[in-house]
Amino acid sequence: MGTAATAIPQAGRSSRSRRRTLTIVGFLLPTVVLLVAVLAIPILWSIGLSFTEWNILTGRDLSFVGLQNYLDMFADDDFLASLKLTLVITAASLAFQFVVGFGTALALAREFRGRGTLTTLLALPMMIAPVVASLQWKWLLSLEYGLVNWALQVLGLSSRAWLSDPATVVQSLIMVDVWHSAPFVMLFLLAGLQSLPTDLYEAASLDGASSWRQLISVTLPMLTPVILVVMIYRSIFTFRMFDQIYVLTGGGPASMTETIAFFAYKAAFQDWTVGYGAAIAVVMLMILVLIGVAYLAVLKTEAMLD
Amino acid sequence: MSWRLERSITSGIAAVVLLLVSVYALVPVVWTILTSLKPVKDILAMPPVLMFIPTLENYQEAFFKGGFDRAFVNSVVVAAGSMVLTIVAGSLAAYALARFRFRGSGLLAYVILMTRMFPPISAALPMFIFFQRLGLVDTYLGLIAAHTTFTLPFVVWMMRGFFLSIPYSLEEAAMVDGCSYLGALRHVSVPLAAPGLAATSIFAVIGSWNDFFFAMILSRSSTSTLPVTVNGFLLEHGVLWGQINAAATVMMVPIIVFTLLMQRNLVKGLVVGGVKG
Repeated sequence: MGTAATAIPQAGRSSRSRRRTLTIVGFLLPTVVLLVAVLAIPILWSIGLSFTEWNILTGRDLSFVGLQNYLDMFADDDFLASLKLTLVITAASLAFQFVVGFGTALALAREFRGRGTLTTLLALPMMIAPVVASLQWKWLLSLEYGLVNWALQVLGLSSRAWLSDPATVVQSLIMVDVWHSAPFVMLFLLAGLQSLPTDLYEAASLDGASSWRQLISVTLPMLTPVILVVMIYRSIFTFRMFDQIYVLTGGGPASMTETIAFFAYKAAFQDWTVGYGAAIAVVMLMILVLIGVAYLAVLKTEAMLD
Repeated sequence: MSWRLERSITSGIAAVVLLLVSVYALVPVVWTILTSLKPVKDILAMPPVLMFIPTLENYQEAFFKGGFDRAFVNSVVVAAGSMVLTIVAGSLAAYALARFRFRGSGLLAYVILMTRMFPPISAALPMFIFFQRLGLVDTYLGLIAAHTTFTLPFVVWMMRGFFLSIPYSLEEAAMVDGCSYLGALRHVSVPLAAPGLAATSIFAVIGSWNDFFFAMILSRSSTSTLPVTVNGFLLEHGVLWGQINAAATVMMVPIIVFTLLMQRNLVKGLVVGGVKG
């Protein structure tokens, strides 16, 4: 359905044209006003705030410090550690999200009875609030009472303090994020798989290609655009992960799981150094906008935008 | 190898994969619901107890002593308010973006899409400061406005996709018969886009219902929503797992119901509005 067929053409007569313009403005106004008020203005204000140092508790002592907050940031070992941690978690989580999501999508590709219901059930984790997901996993991973440790003991393995042991805490966080995010990947890749033309597969089968070969040489290349789009999209949300950190570890043990979103929150709302917090938020914003631009670029290249 | 054998093997692998993934995906959900119905002594029993007499005491404790009744009402009010506001404003804007090709309409649509990328804190911090001055901290209005930051762009983008998939000829016919733009929207487009509208509304409600970050920063004792109260309970009381699981179940059940109801529209809604176009 081409957009030309769905667009209202420019009218010729001026009163019609004026009516059209008024309608456009009227329809767009509520949304634009709201977005300017709740997004544009706060973000601009954040940027401005990042150039200041302000004692928000007393409401006084606002001083303009230029780029000092940014300079402090890149000299701050804690910040750099947080940035590195965030990148590690994002990369690892994305990798597993893809493996689990794609594997599940492949397994669901062929018709069987109850497939629709199973797909919906497997989509549940992504619909559940990250806070709730975190609480569930906190309970499951509990050292004394958790189901996971009990299952490990039954299998003869040792139980661990998953969320308080520095050796296992990062993996646990990744695992919870994958639990929450993989269904999204699964749904999109499944839709992508189902939209692939079957004639290529028939030709490949006739040529004697095995299922594995077909997967590598036919499916993957054709799905690459969808995969790229979905994974870039997911990277945005994994990068800015906050709820899980807050609930599962509170940034611990010993501040080692402070992702950049949590770090910014701590700076602004616990240490009350709002200028610094705003600067971190701006850096996050820049990174995410870069990812967003990459996302749009891929969408455009693959002609997925209209 | 023979085609038959290969097909059996891949089916077998698929079955194993689905089994493992189902366990991974659903055990947390099922275990939470089960735990919420267990008497306290069974909750802390090791090895875990599978046979028990179900009880509602955890729910009673959470609701009548833990303040979840208030939080539940708050969550409903904020979610409903966000939904109404963003569906009305967002659908109008989406219609304009889908139907009217004016200069910058494409750009505006992309800008709205890009707003999904912003880190919540860059909006939440100034909002907190503004709201403190304006006395909007801990108000429904403030929280609904905050939730608009992420529900509105989503609604615009999804509804735009749905409107684009409806042929214009039908509205054209209505306007030839004398309808205004708004009239055509009301009588033709909205009924046709109704399934899309329903799916979008549900996503908007879920987004607001699940929000923790804005609620934590912008609400205090009178308007704290379920996610905030649930988490606050964990910190204060430490190990009252029964009540926490009960609260988690209460938060999850509407989501589960909606998801199952939306079954067919789930992928359609996401794909049409989310990634593609």
